[in-house]
Amino acid sequence: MRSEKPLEQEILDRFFKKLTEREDFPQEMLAQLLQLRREDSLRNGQKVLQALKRDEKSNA
Amino acid sequence: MVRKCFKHSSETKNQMPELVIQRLDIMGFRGVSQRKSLLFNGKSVLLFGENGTGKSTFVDALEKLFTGEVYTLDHRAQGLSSQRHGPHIKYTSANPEIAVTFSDGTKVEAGTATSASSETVKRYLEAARQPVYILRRGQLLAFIESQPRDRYELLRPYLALSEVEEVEAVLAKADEQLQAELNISRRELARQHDDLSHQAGLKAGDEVSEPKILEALNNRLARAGRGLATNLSEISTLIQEIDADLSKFGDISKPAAITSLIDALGELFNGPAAINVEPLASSILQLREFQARQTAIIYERVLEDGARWIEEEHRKECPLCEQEMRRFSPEEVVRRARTRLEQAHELLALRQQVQAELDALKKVVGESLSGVERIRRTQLARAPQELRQTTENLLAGIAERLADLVRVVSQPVPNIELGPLHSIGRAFERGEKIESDISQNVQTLRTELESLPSSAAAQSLLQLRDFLSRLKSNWERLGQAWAAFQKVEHRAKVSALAVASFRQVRKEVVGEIFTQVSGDVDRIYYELHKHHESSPLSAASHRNIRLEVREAVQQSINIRADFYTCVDTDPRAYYSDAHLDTLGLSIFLALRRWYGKQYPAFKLLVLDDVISSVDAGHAVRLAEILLTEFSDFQILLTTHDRIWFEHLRDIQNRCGVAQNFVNKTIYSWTIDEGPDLREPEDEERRLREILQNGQPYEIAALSGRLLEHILQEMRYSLRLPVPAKAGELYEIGDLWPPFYREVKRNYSTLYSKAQQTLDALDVSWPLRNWIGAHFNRWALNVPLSVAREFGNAVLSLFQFLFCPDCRRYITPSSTPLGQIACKCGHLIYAAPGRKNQPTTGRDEVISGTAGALKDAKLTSEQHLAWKRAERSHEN
Repeated sequence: MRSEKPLEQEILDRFFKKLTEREDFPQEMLAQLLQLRREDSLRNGQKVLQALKRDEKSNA
Repeated sequence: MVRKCFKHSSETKNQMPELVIQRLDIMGFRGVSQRKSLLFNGKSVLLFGENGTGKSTFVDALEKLFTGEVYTLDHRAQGLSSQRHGPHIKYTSANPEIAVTFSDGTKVEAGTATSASSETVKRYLEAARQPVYILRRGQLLAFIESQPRDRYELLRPYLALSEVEEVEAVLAKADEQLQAELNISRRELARQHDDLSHQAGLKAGDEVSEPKILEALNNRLARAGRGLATNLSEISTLIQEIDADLSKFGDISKPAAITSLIDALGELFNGPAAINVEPLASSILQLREFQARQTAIIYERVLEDGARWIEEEHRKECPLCEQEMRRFSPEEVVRRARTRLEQAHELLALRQQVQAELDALKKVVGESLSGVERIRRTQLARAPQELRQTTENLLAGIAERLADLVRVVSQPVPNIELGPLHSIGRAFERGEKIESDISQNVQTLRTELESLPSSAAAQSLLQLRDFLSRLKSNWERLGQAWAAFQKVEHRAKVSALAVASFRQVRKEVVGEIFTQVSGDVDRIYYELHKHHESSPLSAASHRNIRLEVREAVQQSINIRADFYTCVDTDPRAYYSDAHLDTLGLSIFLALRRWYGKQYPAFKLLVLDDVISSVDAGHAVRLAEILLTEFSDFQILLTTHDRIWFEHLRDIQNRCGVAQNFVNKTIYSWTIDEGPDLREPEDEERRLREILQNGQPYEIAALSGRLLEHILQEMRYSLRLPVPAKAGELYEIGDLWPPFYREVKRNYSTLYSKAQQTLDALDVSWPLRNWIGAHFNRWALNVPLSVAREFGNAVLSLFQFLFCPDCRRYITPSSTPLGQIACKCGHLIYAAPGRKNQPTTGRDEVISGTAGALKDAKLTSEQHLAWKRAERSHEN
């Protein structure tokens, strides 16, 4: 799998830190986005959209 | 004793990167028509050539191969492209050949898919896709002169943000979609809101709330004399109560079904009745009568052309039989031809009319058949059983007539029978059979409908039930729309938060990068101008140069600096053109270093003739920066400045990176041959060939060229004292005497071995000038044997001085060896009284001196200080 470049890593680390610190950001959605990062799928539009809709599925 | 080596910087390294270019091969591209190779041999290349000798072709070729574009063609002006203007103008194939061979043996060719198996090569090629490692003279000022937004675009590729931007774009697109879904949800909510308001009969502006709806409901229930509801969930119970009351009225669906069937038959009545075959029948009849009159075949084209020829050419004879027109005059023939043509046009128009009427009739018949089928499928199926058969018979009869009509009109026009057409068509006329049958059927249905029990009370209940049913449905839909809206709104809010957070983080990090890069720009700029400064960097006259991300504007970069007492200003206001050039260069180098951090395995730097407006002092400083701070890069450095070229060669030794460099010269360029980038082995091979069957002047010319090349190399290698000459254009006459003297005086082992050759050349070298370089009538009689003797002496000298294994000329070893040897040690000439000592690699020297020479580098100041110290010591 592709490894993140230092700058990319820095930006994504800070981004997720920011989201983690926000209490109003759904944990389930955050977990999904983190999973996508681990899979190097954050550039996959379909998967990201699904992740951002995750709260609906979990609530349903 | 002054130490010869100084510590310069603990950060500098002279390790070449893991993957480097071995060679670049080009054919048919830009200034190269025949196949040419630039041999890197895994080292950096310093390439000198006068203007217009093809230096940039090698740069363009690298860029084209790695990025698919050439900046100076594809981004310069409309109409220019590397696709169109890349191939050499005399190269017949549209696809030039460009190939790079890497140190691991991988060959990458332009236009072919690279199946690089090595991850290192893949990473290298990925990093090389952005041309951020190439700087040309024309691009220098772009960093300075661009508008802030354009400058950001210019600098963006250096930040290696592509993956990050892709993630941002994906998040933004997902957010866009969720915002769009939110808008749809909002509109749906508003629609449901309006529907319920309308259904409940609320006034415009009334709040749509449960109490308001309940109030409207109870008003309606009160008017119908029914009990009131306490909340909207009771609507289902109310409907059940009404259903129970309605059941007392028997089957209330029967009247609805009969009414629906009557309406459908009424609509159908308008269909078949619209079928009118008369216009078509009449047109067909007219056409047939006309055709009967025109018994002869009309040759329309013959008539047209014939009439024109007779008229235009004033012919007296027939254009077909070439006989004189006797019965009618030519004018009369033309008139008759025109009359017949008019008749032909009338016939054509009539045919078109018949076809149009036929198409219209077929369409109406088709629609009528569909209408009959629709009634059979829907209304008839719901009609009471006892009424179905009569209507079914009626519809079957109509369908049969319509099918007959379809059969008649489906024939080709000449075959349509008018008798059946009239007969079937008549049945569809008003007052005829079809209309009469439908009316009779409708009457029967109406009679049945009137006989059914009907009650105004049932109608009223039905209407109330309908109201309640709709109100319940609207209320439920509004509830669902509201729930959906809340979910979508929450998602949209969260997604907007994610996008905003990402953008903020990206902006922060980019700002930090520019702060970091600015530090490098400031330092590199200071290093370039240090010889003018008496203060440290923090108090320099040109200081604090920085690239600032503009807070107010997204993706926009300003350049600011302090200039003497003027703080935070635009450098363009005070800097000279040369200083702005070096500022552009500093920005590029700082950005290249940053890019290197993102792609550590990709260490290529290409500077294409970037030094033009700066003086020698700045140029030397730049050379030092390149050779020290970028010593772990593979560099392709081209220049047209002979003096800078010589400085760089000199500095390579002082900076301890000479072993990483190959210095090359382009001697000339022609449109057919391309750059004359001679390699020592090539020259040797060509000389051997020409010695076999060449003329004396050819042998002398080639021998002289190789000798000149050897002496140029020896000038650096042996540090020959050569009187300065404008443009550093030294010839054999300038170089041979000091070379011969130096070898004879200081390198006796070499002299003793090569004495015969050296002494012979000391006599014969002018031969090159007499017959090889200039035309001298008196020299025409030089015998072939003399020329061959000269050539063989040059070849012999080449073999004494050039090692074919390491492809290097011999060079003196440092003390205490005092010998002269090639790099690999295959050619060694020991110091007097000593034995040959195998050459030692840098690593061995470092370990042998317990690391004392590890970071041995000389700056210009240190070098000059050492020279001064040595001189004083000698004195």
